Amino acid sequence: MPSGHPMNSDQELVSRAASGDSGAFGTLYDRYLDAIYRYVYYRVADSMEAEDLTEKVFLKALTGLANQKTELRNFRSWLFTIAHHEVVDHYRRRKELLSLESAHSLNDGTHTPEQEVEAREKAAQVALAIASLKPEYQQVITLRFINGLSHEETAKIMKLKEGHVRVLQYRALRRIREFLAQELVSDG
Amino acid sequence: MDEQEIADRLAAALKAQERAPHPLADTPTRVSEDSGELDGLLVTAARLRNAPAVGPRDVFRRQSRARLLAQMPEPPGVTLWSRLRLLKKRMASQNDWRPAVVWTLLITLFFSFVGGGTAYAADNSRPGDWLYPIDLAAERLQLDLTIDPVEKTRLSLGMAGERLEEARQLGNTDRTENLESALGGYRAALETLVRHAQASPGTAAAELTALIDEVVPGHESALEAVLREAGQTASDQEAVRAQAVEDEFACAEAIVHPAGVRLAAQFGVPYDQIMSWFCERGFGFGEIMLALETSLASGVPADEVLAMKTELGGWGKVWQALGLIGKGRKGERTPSVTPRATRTEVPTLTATPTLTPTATLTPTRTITPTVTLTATATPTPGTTPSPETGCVGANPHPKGSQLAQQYGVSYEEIMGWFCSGFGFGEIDRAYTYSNAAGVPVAQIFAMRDAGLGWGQIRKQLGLPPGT
Repeated sequence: MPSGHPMNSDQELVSRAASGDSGAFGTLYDRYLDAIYRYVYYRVADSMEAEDLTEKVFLKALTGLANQKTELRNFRSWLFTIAHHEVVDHYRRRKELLSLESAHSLNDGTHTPEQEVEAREKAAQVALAIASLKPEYQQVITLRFINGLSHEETAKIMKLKEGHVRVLQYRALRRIREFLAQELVSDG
Repeated sequence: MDEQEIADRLAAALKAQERAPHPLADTPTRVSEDSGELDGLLVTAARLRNAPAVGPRDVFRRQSRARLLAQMPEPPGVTLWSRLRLLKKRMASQNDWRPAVVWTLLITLFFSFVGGGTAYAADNSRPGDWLYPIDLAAERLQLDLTIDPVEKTRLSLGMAGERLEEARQLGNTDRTENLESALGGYRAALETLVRHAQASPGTAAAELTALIDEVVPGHESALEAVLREAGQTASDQEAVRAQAVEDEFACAEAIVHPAGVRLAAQFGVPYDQIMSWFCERGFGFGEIMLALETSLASGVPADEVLAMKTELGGWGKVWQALGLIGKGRKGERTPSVTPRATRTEVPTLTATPTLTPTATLTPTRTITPTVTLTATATPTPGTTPSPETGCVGANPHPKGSQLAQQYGVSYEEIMGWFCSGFGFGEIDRAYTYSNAAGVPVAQIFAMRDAGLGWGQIRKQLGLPPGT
């Protein structure tokens, strides 16, 4: 999707947005808002914080595009990198234990209230599990499984070799599996 | 087996899981029969992949978009030379755009010599014509080469009008297949118009408000004709009668109104809602479309926008009241990364004695209960918007009045916060938190000014989620 129709490719939109075309930036915003929000939400486990941080990500992208000296080859990867830095800064600023709130919305609008409560609890559980990991594990888990990026793209965003990403993925999955198992025990 | 080897096997199994046509939970047994650990990890991965699709609230989606687009920086530098460099950069990076510009320039030159004037051949083209992209490219170029935001607003207004005229002409022909795209073009032009109107300096607000009040009613009636199945004109008696019958039947729910359907599809608003505004409250389809666009740009619900339209009369006044006109500053080009940075320029804000007397804000903003607030905030000249420069807009501002009534505070207090740079949504939330936590609202605004997000403020106040 990101680079589907040539008229609407990321590269063209980025170029137009960098020249001050608000429509182009608006299209990029519409295209990536949910993905970035999802990435941030599952790392900070708080919907209000996720909204604040998501807006900051796009604001940085906006100013970054205007100041871009060289051609931006992969806007999506770049956006996720900004999002990662925002999340890291956020943790640095807060340095406090996360608590989870439930006031997020489920974006397909097809849930009944009961299904929404159930899905919200499920999202909260997953988000808490991810937020319990150390930052590089969080990043690999979120990029790979929440945002569905490939090993290759994840490696690019994390600026690591693919082999290293695979090891991190293995360790992170083990940690999160342990966490979820403990949750099940304590719930049971 | 060492860790790297297990990690590689897991990665391969995950890839197979991604490609699997069968349910994810079945994958482990199919790809890793010999490893209990890998099976468990694959199940965990499948669970993560199936995590619910959370998304931001719709109101955030709209408001954040509007805030971001309002921050769009001008291209670096505003000299003719830098504009030409910008053009060169675009031409180098956008292969599909280059021919349009080259053709535009060539055709302009050609008609300058042969046609003996400034008219573009492409200017009369319509969606679907081969010259149409050239027409649009020429307009974009003209807008790019214009520096003054007020002039940009005028140009955008003209361009929005052109898009509408194109849509109307399409309706008079059999080329209705391009109608939706022409309407989309009008909406995009309107978005550009609002952006430039917002970036214009406050000193130009009155002039732009008057201009929009004068021009946009024409858009409203043209939209009405286009939405009602373009092609019918008000001067055509037969058409007018047919429209009246159509309206009557649609309001009696005997038929579905095509204009209502078209609007519902364009904006993703329920058809019944559109028809309720049309049948029960008497708004025209053109008016409803402009209200929906305004709602998207401002984040204020369309219902409220329509109420404001009734109260204030013109779209210019409505936009000004909603802060969509004249929010820029003279000479200001590139906004800072932090949108609220300019707020600290407000030297002193006085409020009514209803605030806690001991409340003190940052050194730049002190609450002085003994001073009575007469109009709005008392700004230092040149630092903060005032009613004259487009801060207040309609007086009294309907949203301001509503919030004052809702929270039992004076209108002046609400408008004082608004004029110091807080949006009505933020003011609403600040008072909600203030009431819930029992802390002065000034303290909450100070926290916001200090850069805290609303989620952080809520937590620091010890309020539960959803407050």
